[in-house]
Amino acid sequence: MKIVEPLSLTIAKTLADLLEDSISSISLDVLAYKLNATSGDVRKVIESFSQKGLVRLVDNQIYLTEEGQSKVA
Amino acid sequence: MIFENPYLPYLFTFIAAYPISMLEYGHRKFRKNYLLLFKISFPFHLYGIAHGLLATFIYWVLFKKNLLPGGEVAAILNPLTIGLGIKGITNLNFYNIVSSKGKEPSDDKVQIIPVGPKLVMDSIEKYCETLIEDNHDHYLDAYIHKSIEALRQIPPATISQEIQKYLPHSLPKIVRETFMEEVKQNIGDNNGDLYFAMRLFANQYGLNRYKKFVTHITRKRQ
Repeated sequence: MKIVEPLSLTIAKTLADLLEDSISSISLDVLAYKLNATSGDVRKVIESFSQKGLVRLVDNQIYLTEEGQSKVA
Repeated sequence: MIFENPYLPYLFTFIAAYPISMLEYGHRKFRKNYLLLFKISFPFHLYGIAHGLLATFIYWVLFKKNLLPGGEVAAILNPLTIGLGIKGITNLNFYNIVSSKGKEPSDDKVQIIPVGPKLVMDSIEKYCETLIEDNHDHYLDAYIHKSIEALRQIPPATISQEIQKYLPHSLPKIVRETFMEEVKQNIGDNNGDLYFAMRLFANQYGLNRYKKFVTHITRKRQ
């Protein structure tokens, strides 16, 4: 059976990829549109990320924090 | 009489060419799975035979209508020209441009839909892709079910701790943390059933990495 990638992992990967393209921020709606998800679901995931300090959410714009991009295991 | 037909070798070439290209294709994509190669070969055989029959039919029509040039050169030239012609036709892709009537003029998308004989080949390849993918899926499943037996005696906390060491080093923290969270949550949700978590690992970071992880964690235990 095939396993669908969980939404939170998809969002994390998309955010990490965008950073490599040197885009500093993305709006929540654009991200939801990109992933074909509802913005409510995306918001829930982003809020849990921001509680851990991995992203910053300012006026619906998502910024990746230094901690979120660090590559130390 | 039929053996004097100069087009017969050409027919055979077509019938042989597709299985050969199929073999190469299958071998490149999915090695050592001969059952899969056998299954894949059918559409290619059919396509090759259809191709060959078409070429022979065209030759036959031309022959009946006395349109074939005579002489010794013709015997070599004709198969080539007809063959190239047919190959040209079957590789052609006619494009049908459809502009969808969107509500906003700025969102006017132009869709290009290929319609032509090449569609046959494309659809065969797509069919093969799904066949290969499904097969790979079963292969992964079988390996994971087998490895879970070995992992059963190890406490889930140790497993999720050890998985972290086997993730790629260049992973940004946001991806790493999210992945680990999903793994822990999956193990918790399924009452210690490791299948979903392990399948996620293998899907995301490949079977090789997963195999390394399994051999590492089981050897450590003994």
